[in-house]
Amino acid sequence: MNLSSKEPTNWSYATKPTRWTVFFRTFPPWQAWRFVRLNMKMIRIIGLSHKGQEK
Amino acid sequence: MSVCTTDHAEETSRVFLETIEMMKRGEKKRFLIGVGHGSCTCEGAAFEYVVNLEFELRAHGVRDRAEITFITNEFELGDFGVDGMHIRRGGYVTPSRIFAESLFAERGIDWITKAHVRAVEPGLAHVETLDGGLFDLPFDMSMLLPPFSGVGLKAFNRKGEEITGSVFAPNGFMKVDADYTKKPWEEWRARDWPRHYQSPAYANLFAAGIAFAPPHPVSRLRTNAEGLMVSPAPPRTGMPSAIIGRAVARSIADMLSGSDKPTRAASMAEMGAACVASAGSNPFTGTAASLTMFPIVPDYERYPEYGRDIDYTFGEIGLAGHWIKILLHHMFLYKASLRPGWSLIPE
Repeated sequence: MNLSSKEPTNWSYATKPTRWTVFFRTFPPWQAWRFVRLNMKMIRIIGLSHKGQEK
Repeated sequence: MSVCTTDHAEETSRVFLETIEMMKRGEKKRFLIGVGHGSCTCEGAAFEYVVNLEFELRAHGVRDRAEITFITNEFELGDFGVDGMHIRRGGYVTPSRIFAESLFAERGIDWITKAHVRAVEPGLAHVETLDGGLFDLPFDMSMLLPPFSGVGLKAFNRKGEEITGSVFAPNGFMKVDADYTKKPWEEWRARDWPRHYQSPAYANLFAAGIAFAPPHPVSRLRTNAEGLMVSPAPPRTGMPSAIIGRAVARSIADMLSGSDKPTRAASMAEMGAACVASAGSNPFTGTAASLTMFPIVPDYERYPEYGRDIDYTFGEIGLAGHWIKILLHHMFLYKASLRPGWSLIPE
């Protein structure tokens, strides 16, 4: 678990994001679009879940 | 170090800042974050804690002097007590384990899964794993979630006889209209989960939110050779608790108006959940994981392949998630303050 170790650790075998993926995570224009899309997706789930409150 | 109450959060903040000062002077520190028992739930809260801790260490410029370990009772990262979930991404239907491991690997956070913390003493946690491993983990700062249980109420009938066992489950949560028959994972069904949260013993007793006794976990049960269960309990906090609370309140209101039975249903096997897990709190450089799933309790009769509707189950990490978290924060405070139009804000 030493960060400076060359020995394989858990994260040696994990999927890692590319530089572009990391960049777009905090790139405001792209994130503004994702903000709209994510809100729409969540509103859909909230609506679906409240429908289940019928008798 | 807990952040669950104001006093706890202030104390944790003080200790954390002192630790950072020591790290700035060149000391190396070990952080151990995760669950403190093999049957804990709310792994998502520990997940938020550890990624935010890592984010703050980076922000203070001392990340290279920190060794961070996440310890969990999940069989795999990304289980979150809901048996994980599957998301369409990059041409594949991918398990949540891939995304959780990726985030930890990217941030240099190591992890230990299938773990039960047997005891904690200052600076040392004694750990047992599902495969029978026994070892100690030293730390300089730690946050380990406690397991959930009911508040331990005792129930008595009019004759003064104790009836706790018929009203509450052994873990202290209240029995409701669920199927509590003991059965193996293969026989668990979505319909085992309660719909009205009404006590079968007394029609005027309801247990909403985390107060009800779940019929069984959502994640598969796993025990080691000594019979120790190392498996997450089902999470019920957040959106499901709020939706259940609304349904129960409406049922009670209708029963007070003359209905002879509950009028609203809110089964966790019929509702979805939206969750935003913070991964760094900053309006420009922060991120959060935005997740939705439908239904919360997998229904393999309706969705044989993954137990959930893949069209309504997704997850992504980014700054937009953090903006949603800020928006929700203000909306919930507005609602809690009962300002004009509060009831229009959904749970």
